Amino acid sequence: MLPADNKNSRHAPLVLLHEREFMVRKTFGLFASETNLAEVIETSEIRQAKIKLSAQPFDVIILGFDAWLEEIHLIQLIRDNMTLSDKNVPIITILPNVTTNQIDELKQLSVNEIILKPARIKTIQKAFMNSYKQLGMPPTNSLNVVNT
Amino acid sequence: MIIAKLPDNEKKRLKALKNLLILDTAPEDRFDRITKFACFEFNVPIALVSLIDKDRQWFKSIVGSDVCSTSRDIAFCAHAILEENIMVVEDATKDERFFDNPLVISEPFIRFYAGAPLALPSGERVGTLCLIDYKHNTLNDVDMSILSSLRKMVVAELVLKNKIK
Repeated sequence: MLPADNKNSRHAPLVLLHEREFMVRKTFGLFASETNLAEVIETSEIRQAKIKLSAQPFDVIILGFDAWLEEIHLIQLIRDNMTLSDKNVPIITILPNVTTNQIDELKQLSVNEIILKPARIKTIQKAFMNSYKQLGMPPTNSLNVVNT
Repeated sequence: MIIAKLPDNEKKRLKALKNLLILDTAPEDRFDRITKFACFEFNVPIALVSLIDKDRQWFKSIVGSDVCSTSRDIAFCAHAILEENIMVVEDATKDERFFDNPLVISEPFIRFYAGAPLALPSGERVGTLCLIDYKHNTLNDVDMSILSSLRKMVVAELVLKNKIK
């Protein structure tokens, strides 16, 4: 299930999935592991996510939003090179809703994808594949909002 | 209609099912959240955790219907537990096993069925996590993998409960 170029040259990408919704977290983690899509480290509290990000680098970060400020701050930390992950690491966000101003703010932080809640696993998988293909490529200026 | 044959390990299978101590227990959120999520993920009206008892299929969890059991003779899931992989019936009216099944020609008028066998670590397939739709449908490879992951979550819950008891 990995892009062909990456399949043989490296292990499954390491993904941080921060999401409060149990079924989304557990199902994506299990699905990614079973299909060798990715190795997923799951967190349900933003504090845990910060600890994980300060402990190891991730290839892709999937961030479920609850309180806007905390999650935005976390993305700022990543983009300011304050975590171990590459500051250009692809970031996929999962939001309950989003305003035009918020989309602009996420664009400025080079967020790769926005998925609206409730999120389907297949939607997250597709966003992951899109983002993973862009690994090592310069961030683009376009930002899709996907209603799952 | 073709009635499903009994699995070769039927006695052992029934014993394993009874040992789970789950038949005729009350609904539980740990199963219901999986069936609810399955309905959403696959956009189907009905999802259930079905356990195949000696003469009936009994639903530990069901979303989209109030039925709690049916005769084993008419159960799609009785066919699904004969296979190791997920059994998909895209259009039941065109399947010789089911075209004149009472569940197809009358309420709930099943057209689409996908059943993922619930295989215990010891190998017995005690039931299924299944999806049902009133219109024909299909699953792609990603869908199949997601359903398989959900099936594993159901098995983990079945076994966990058994261990605690």
